[in-house]
Order: sequence, then C-alpha cells, then structure tokens
Amino acid sequence: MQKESKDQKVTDSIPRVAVLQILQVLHHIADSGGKSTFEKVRLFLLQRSQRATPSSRFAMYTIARDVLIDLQKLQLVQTGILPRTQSQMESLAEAPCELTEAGHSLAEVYKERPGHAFDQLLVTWINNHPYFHAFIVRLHQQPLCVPDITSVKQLGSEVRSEENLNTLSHRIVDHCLKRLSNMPFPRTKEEPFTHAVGERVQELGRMTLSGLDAKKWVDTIQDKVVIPSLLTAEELPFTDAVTFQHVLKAAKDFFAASWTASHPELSLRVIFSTCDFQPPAIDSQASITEVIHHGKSFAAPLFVAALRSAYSRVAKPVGSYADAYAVRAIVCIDLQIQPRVFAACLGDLMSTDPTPELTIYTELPFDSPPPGEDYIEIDRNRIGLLKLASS
Amino acid sequence: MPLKSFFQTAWDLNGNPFSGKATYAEDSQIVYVPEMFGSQREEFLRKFVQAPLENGQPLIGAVWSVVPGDPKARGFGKSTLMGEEAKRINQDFGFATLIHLGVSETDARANPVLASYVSFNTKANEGIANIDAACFQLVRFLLRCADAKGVKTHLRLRERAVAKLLKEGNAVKDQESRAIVMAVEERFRQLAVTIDIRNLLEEFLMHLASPDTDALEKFLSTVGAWHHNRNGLKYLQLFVAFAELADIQHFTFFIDQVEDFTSESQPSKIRKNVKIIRDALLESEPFASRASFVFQLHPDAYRKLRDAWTHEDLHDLNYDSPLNKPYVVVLKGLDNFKAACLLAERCLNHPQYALPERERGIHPFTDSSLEKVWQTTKPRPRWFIRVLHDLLELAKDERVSVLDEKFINPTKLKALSSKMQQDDEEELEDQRDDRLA
Repeated sequence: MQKESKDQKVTDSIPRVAVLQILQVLHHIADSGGKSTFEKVRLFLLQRSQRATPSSRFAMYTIARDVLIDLQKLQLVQTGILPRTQSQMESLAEAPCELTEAGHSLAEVYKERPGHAFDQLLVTWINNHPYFHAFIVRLHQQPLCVPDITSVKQLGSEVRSEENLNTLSHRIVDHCLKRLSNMPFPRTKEEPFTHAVGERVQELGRMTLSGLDAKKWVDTIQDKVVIPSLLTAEELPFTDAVTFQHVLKAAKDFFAASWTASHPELSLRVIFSTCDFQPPAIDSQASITEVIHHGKSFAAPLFVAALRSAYSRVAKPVGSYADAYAVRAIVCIDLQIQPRVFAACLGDLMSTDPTPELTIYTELPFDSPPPGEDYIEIDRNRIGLLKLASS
Repeated sequence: MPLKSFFQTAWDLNGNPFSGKATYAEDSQIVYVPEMFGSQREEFLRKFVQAPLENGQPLIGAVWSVVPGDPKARGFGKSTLMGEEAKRINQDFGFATLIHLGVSETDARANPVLASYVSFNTKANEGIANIDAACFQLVRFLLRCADAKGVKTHLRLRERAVAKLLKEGNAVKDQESRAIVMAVEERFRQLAVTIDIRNLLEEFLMHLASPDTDALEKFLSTVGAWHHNRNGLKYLQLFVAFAELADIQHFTFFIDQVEDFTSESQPSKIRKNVKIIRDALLESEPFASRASFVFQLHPDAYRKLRDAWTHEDLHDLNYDSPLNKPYVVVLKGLDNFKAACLLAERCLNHPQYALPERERGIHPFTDSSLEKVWQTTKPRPRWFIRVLHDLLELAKDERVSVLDEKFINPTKLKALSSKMQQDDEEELEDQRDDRLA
C-alpha cells in the first residue's frame, strides 16, 4: 500500500487483527517464560476465538502471523521466519518467538493494568504505523464524514443499468457531495473527490459492474469507488477500503475514535476522535508520549447540558420520547466521547433521584441498534427511547 | 418512448384511482381514506382498541352494516376499516392510534397493542373455513406487518422481548433465543389448559424466538393446510404468549366474512366453532385477559349464528339493542357529501396515481357532478367508488376531459347504479354456486 505524498512515499501495513489479540499473545508468550513458537501462538488464538472455526491445522494462522509480524515491527517480540502461506505451515510451524525487554515490560503492564497496556500500545502504534498516525491526526482536525452507499435506491435504481460510466460517476459525485454539504467539506476537497470517483469508475469499467447482483453492486461502488475517492480527497496515505476498515477498528479498540451513522441531521457516518494526546496529535511531526482519554470524569461536567441540547434537537415535540440512538450520536460527537462513556454518564444521572430540574424516562427498545452500533445499555437495561422532563 | 395515456394527458393521473371492484383484499394496495368514515372511525377505535385497555378487560364486539330490506348490506367499508386499521395499529403498536384518541404519550408508550384481521373465505384455495384456519391466518397477518421503515413486527417484538428478559435477569447475552423459548414454555406450564408444543409447533416457537424473520416466514409458508386447519389456534396461542413477553398489553382480532362461514356450514359445525370461540378464545389464557374479538356482521349472518351464540351464553351482539352500544359499531357509510367528496379527493390525489404536476382537487369531476354520483349511490362507499371508476373509463373512451353534470346525466347514472346492484347480486350468486367452489 503506497501513496505518493509531497515528499516521499509512505508505506505501512495495518494488521488484520484485533488490538486485544496482540496484547493477549504478548501476555501468553510472557506466561510461557518469554518464549513460544508460531504454532503455539496459533493454537492459543484458536482456543480464545469465540467464533466457530473449523478444526484444521491452518485455522487462525493468518491472524497468528499478522499478530507476530506486528509485535516484531513494534520491537516487542523477536521471531524466526514466519509462514506466509499455508504451504509453509509444516516447515515453519515451530518458528520461535521471544519477547524483547520492551515486550516483557508491556506484558507486565497488561497483567497488572490492562487499560494502561492498551494506552502504551496505542502510543507505540501511532509512532510506528504511519497510516494510523495520519488517520489520528486527520481526526484531530475535525470529524471525518463518510457518505456510505448502502443501497441502490440512494443513487436511483435505474443507475445499475446505466451504460454511460460518466453518468454513473456524476450520479455518485452529486449524491455524495450533497450529503457532505451538511458538514464543512471544503471545496478544495470536492475536486479531488470528483476526479477520483471518475477515475475509479473508469477503472472498474462496465464489464466489472454488469452482472453483479444489487448487493454486490452496492458493495463494489462503496469499496472500490466511494471510500477510496474520499480517502484520496482527504489526502490520507492509504486509499483502500480494507485498510480503512482496519485502521478504524484499531482506533475504536484503542478508544481513540468512534463512529456513528445515527446523527439525525446528517445522513453520514461521522468518525470522531475520543481522546487527546501529548503533544497534541495535530502536530504531525512530534512523537506522541501520552494518551488522555475522554472518560467519565472528562464528560460528566458537560454531560447534562449536552444531553439536554441533544434531546431538544431530537424530540418532536419536546417533552415526548426521543430516539435514544440519535441523542447518543449528537452527545458523543459533541463531547467526543465513546458510546460506553455516554452510557456510564447516563447511568450515573439515572441512579440519582429525579429532581425538578431533570427527570429521565426511558423505554425498552422495539428496534435493534443501527448497523455497526451497540445497544445503549445501563446495567441490564437496554434503552430505545429517552425523555427528559424538567419543571 | 411509450405513448401517454388519456389519464396522463387530460387529468395528470397514472391510471384510474378508483377500484373497479372496490372489494377489500388485504394484500391489495388500496387507497385508504380513514376520514371517509367520519366520527365512526373514532368510535370504532375507541370501542375496540382503547376501551379494553381502559377497562382492563377484553371484549367481544361487532361491526355491522344495516340497510332496510337488504339482509346482506354489503359495500359499507367494514372490511376496509377493520383490515386497514389493523395494519396501521401494527405499524407502531398502536401508538399513533392511541395518541389520536387523546391518550397521553406516556400511557400510549406503556400500552403497546396489536391487531389482526382474517376473512373467512371458504372458496379460496385451502379455504379458511373454521376457527383453527382463521387463527393461523391471524398469525400470518401479524407477521406480514412492518413499521414505517420496513422492519417486520416479529423482529421488533423479539427485540423488546429480549430487552425485557435481560432486564429481569431471565436471559443472558447470546442465549436470548433460548430464553424466549423457555419463557413461553413456562407461560403455558402455568395455564390450566396446556398445549403440547411438539414437532411443527416446536419449530414455530423456535423460529419466533430467533431473529431470522425470513426463516420464520419461509417456515409458515410450508405449513400445510391439513395441519393448520387443526392446529391454527395453537399457533395463535404461541404467538400471543411471545408477544406478551414484548409487553403487548392487548390484541384486537377482527374476524370478517362471518357470513361465509355460516352460509357454508351445517348447524352442527356452526355450534362446534362457536363453542371453540367461547372455550378457547374467550375463556382461556393467553386470550382471556388480553384479546378482544370483533366480528363483522349483517342481519343474515347473525341470524344463522344466533342460535349457537345464545346456546353458548355469549354476549348478544345485536345492533339495535341499546345495551350493546359499547360493543357494537353500525357503519352508516357515506351519509354526507363532505365524506364522499373527501374520499374522491384523496383517491384522485394519492401519490400512487397523481402525477407530480397534478393540481389538488376533485377534477375532472365538478362539485355538482360528484354530488349527483353520491346522491345516487349513497350510502355505500363501494357503489360510489365503482361508479366513479366506470365514469372515468367512459370519459377516457369518449375523450371527455371534464366530467360535469352534462356528461354525468341521469340516464347514465341510473344505468351505472343498476349495474352496481346487479354486480353485487351476481357476486353473491357466484358464491352460492357449487360449481365454482
């Protein structure tokens, strides 16, 4: 994955794994006396996996490989030659892995204070993964808005049979820019976005798109056109949808960012930062040394005002029940907090006695949470609707 | 480029917005104009949706249409009112309906309700000819409904049921389906009359408990007539128990075309099914505490049903008894021109038919010509709609753009309305003729 920047090519490799898996493997190697093998790591990951994986001697090998490659890149582990393909599994299964001193130290932190270990790893990631660093810097400028295409109807169902690729490009551009106009999407980005959409549609060509069923067609437009074009316009060093997805997932795992598509006034997926750094992340040259999360203590003093404001924007009329997911979206974006911090702050408010100034009513949901988002849960209570009352 | 039709060029319409048959079929995309029923719509909803919640007790009720000298009294909109209001209620579990009736938002949220509709139809393929068959179709109606975003009722109920079970500590994450099944089974264990949940019924329960609505619908479509004609009641019992988990406080079941059931059944069968109505639907859980049954009646149907009804000591549903007023709605039809005008206007301007450039209003009809049609066909909405349909077709044929009093002359009107009456009688004849069974 390479992108021409002004001065130099920036390359990176974001592992297709969960951050938790990286720390768990580190801990596992530490527990094994600081030494292990590729096969043992693979079996450890298999055992931990909650998904139903087939019992095969290759199951989870790509994840084991990606985890160890990343740990090596971060100088937390030293490994022998790792298998790159299934055919190499036999001969390289016993490839050794050994913790470095830094790896031992981080494993120790993980054992005592897992949250701190995540933060240390986050700092290491930012300083060693340029794609991730660029993404975090971008989020600290302002939220990143994505005009996801999830249905043919968004572009008009007749567009699937459109022969003229220029017409298809224009339709995509018009639709996306219209949605992006609700946010500050500078004109300086519109042109590169438009140009990139045109290029990508031409690259795909008529042959690729014809014959696809509706779902595959939509996925292709989203992953091969919209996302890469947006990333190009945003001048990020990576432009493929898979890398974007993994960067985003890692940011969420680290509690460095979150996203929502439930903002009632924006028909966009909004990705926003949920922590600060020292030195500030906006300074893209300096190495990060510290993470400052926007936790409950950060949000609590601001929460009531933000909740009231969000509720008044969502409830129609004010005084009636409002969609809790929409309220959560507004509050989380405004305060730049994780959804679970929202739930924690809301839970604290609800656990206190109602006051004349604020009484909170909730209803259980009839609807599932929006795609990609979690339930709003306080203790065992799922919240679908919210009402604020004050005298 | 296809040629524009006369409907498009003269009237800015996509087609004829009035149905030629104007008979209700729950699957058809009819233009439903609730205002055409005037204050009777509120009366209907108050009696059959709000009152059971207020009283804490379900009821049995009836929707009548009565025309002196016409024991069938068809075409008053009974089926349309029952079927379409049931769909509306199910869109949001009765929230908008209760708010419309003046219930507070808090109370409306705390009292989600459901409604269903079934029409006895002995002539249909795998006809609905007994209570079990009717109950099975009541379940299918409920599961066909969706909210404004297209999310099916089943999924929404399941979501709520899971949230409630989790809150009560009766479910753990990732084992929600199992928790629902156990909760329903436990419900039936507590009842005096249990049902044996095995084989297909067990499969139905598992599908209800799972989030896969498509699989549930596929399953129901494969349940054969032989089975559901004998077990349909159990399907409804299971569904009601499932919906109870989701806090549904009340069900209103509308039973249509009772005359179809009575006309095709021997007295012994009528008695048997009325007994089932009493024993299983009215006096046993899970229905006894939260399910109201509203029957569509006219004099002919009630006459045939009456003996069995009285024998089972069921509440009298006669329309002319003042004591029955809380349980009975007698539809008056289009008894004033304002309602008729509103019906025509809504149909003519419905987004399904009106092109964007069409101006609102009743054109190509004029006020006076429309009133003439109403005068001739009142009070039956069905006749009114059919005549309007035929007039548009005639005008299209003759290339007449304005349907004024000159076009809608008395001779034409008389011929059309006689045709309506004849069509109705022929329809009845068809239903009586065994060769068409």
